[in-house]
Amino acid sequence: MSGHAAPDESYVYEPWYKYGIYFLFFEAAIAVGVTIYSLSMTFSGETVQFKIKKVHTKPVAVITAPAPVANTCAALQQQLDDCLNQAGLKK
Amino acid sequence: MSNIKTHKVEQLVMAAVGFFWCFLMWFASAAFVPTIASEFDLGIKGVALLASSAIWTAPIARPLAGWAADKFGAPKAFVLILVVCGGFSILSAYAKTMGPALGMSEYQFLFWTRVIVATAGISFVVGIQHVAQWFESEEMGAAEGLYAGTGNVGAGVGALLLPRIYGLDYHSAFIHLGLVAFVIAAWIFFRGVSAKSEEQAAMAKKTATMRDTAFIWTRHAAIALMLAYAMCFGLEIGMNAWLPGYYKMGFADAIQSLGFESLQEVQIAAGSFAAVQSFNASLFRPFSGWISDIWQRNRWTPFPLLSKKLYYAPRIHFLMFALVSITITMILLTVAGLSGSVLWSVLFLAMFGVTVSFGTGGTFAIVPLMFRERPGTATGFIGGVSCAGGIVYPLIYGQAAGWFPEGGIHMGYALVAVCAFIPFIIYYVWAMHWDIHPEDHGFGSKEKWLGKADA
Repeated sequence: MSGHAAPDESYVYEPWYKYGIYFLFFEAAIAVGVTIYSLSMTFSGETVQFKIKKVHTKPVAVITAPAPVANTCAALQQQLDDCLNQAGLKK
Repeated sequence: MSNIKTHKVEQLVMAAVGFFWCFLMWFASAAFVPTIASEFDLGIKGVALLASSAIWTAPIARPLAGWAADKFGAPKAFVLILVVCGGFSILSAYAKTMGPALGMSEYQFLFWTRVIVATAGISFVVGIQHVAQWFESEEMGAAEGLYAGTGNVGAGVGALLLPRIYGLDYHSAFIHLGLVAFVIAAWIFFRGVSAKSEEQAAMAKKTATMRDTAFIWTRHAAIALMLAYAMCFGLEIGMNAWLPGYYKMGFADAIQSLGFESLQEVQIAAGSFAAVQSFNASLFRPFSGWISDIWQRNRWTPFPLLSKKLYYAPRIHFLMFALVSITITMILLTVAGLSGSVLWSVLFLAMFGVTVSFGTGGTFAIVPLMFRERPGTATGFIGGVSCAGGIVYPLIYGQAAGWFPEGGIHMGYALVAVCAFIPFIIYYVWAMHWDIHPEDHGFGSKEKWLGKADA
């Protein structure tokens, strides 16, 4: 044997001790809760954030329908014809 | 001796809150590693260096803190630690202006001030001494468990909550942490009492001598327990500092595919995954003392070679079980990392945390029994020097990333398990094989260190 005396097993614990053990169980429950929460994050991909999110919204752009290519070409052709007429180069 | 009327539960709460806050400050940098790494363009090695720097001062400063607690009383030591670390925490928030003003870069100032803040971790020894001065030996297990478990979880709380509360604004976090440290320091200053009796406080001053310290530091059993504690607590603190950065870098694609896209979201996710280890390692620690009691009650001694005749032999076998479990879960972490699955990694991390708690609780279920005549010196050595593991492991993880063409960031765990932990376990088995007074065997005889009268 080691030569050391075994601890006293007849010791009567003070009242705080019982609450201390309850607190240990409470702490273990927190650990299990955090594990479950983190595992759930690996499935859901969602987090809880306490800080108020700043949402940056872009100003809505006015979208106009692009002019059809045929119309654009016709307009350009018209402008060219007008120029040629004015210059007297087109018969 | 002070005339303050107090109760030992108040002193326990005070020590636990002080230690909790110190732990929170200690690992606050780790919680913001993704932001700091992006802001200062740090690679894996830079992150590993930042992670390990959090523990640089612990191996030297912890034994000194234990001595200071004996010499001047734990409350005074606690106040000093909180004020210094709180002050530097606030200063670190002003790196942008103060760094260039002192001729350093912003990152250099931040890095070195955070190294000083990280000395807050030495408060563990101070609190252990304080609790030991107030509680009976029969209550000691639960009291120390409540103190150490509640305090250690500060790291997990930091990783989990700080990024959620402060987002990317780590400067504000550092300032607030420092300010609260001052408030706790004031509480301990006005209400802290160093021991339950004047005689007990006086006795603590006498016990630590140079000869006893040299004797303990050269015992095979003390060295084996120190290495065992380096495998659990040293590893735990190293992982606290390393894991947030590891999840950000090692699982970048997986985290992004889960939907965490912005830096803030990635930081929160990485911190939450990392917190799993810290919460389990801390909050299950008191339970491991209880499980050690069960092994003791049933006289379980399943391992060959280890002593079976010592009256606390089952506790030695329980610690052996914990050390083997830690080694296996480290290898599993590498396997999970290489598979690219965050889910398996977090699951194994939870198991890993529990096995680490078996190791930390299991070690300190043996120390007071084996080193009954010199518990303070033994605690300072085992709890202090073992922290060096927390420095070395993150550096190996960072280096290992460059040694393997693919998945190197995950290989560090298996590397440490095979190259360091298995030799540590072999030494532990050898140091614990004596059936009579294993604590007396070491480098040099007992008579040589203590003289014939004391031996």
